[in-house]
Amino acid sequence: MTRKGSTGGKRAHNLDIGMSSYVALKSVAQRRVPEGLSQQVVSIRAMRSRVLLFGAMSTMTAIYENGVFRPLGIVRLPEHTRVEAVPEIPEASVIELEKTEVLAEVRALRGSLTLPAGTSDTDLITSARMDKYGHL
Amino acid sequence: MATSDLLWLDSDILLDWLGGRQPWDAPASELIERAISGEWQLAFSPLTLANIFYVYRKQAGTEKALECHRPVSRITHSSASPQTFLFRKR
Repeated sequence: MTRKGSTGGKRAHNLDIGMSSYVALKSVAQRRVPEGLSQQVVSIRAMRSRVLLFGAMSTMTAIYENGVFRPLGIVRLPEHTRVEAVPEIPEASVIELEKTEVLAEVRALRGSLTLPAGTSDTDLITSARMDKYGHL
Repeated sequence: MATSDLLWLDSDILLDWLGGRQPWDAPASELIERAISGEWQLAFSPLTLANIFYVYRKQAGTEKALECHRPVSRITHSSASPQTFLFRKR
């Protein structure tokens, strides 16, 4: 990281910083400002535009539905930018997902059994138990 | 939880629901849906669970019976009392 000198009356400091997040850039820049200058204008100039571009949104939250990832926040990317996503599912979401799946399986059981017409439940159960254990 | 939130189910209600028997399928399904939403808590005896499994096995085969039993067993809670809770309220 290099720091260039102040410019004119604004006494701004330009900081050239490599790859890191925008938030980190800002905090680092603020830490490097000499004492007594902290109240002055500090501008951060990223050497590469992608530092600012991706650094500002290194992590984003999205919901996967209908085959598409839908971001939950503002996306600061040019249209048609290709990105790589590594799904990281919060534990609470996993539990919720499992619960939803189980309840969906339970719902699917409705009407899943074909029962013989005209047979009482008692006969049905007795017959099924006898089928399992045989006659007493 | 108020006592009135706990409903005891007998085999016939579960069979109505599983078999989609008319006209009892709709009210039986409403019971289950209310339990899924956490509004009510349903309970039945372990013997009922076993009987349902036997009926399912006889009518649909062991594999299907196990498929039916799997999700039910994941949402049931057995206690020392002679009753099994279905959709135990969280």
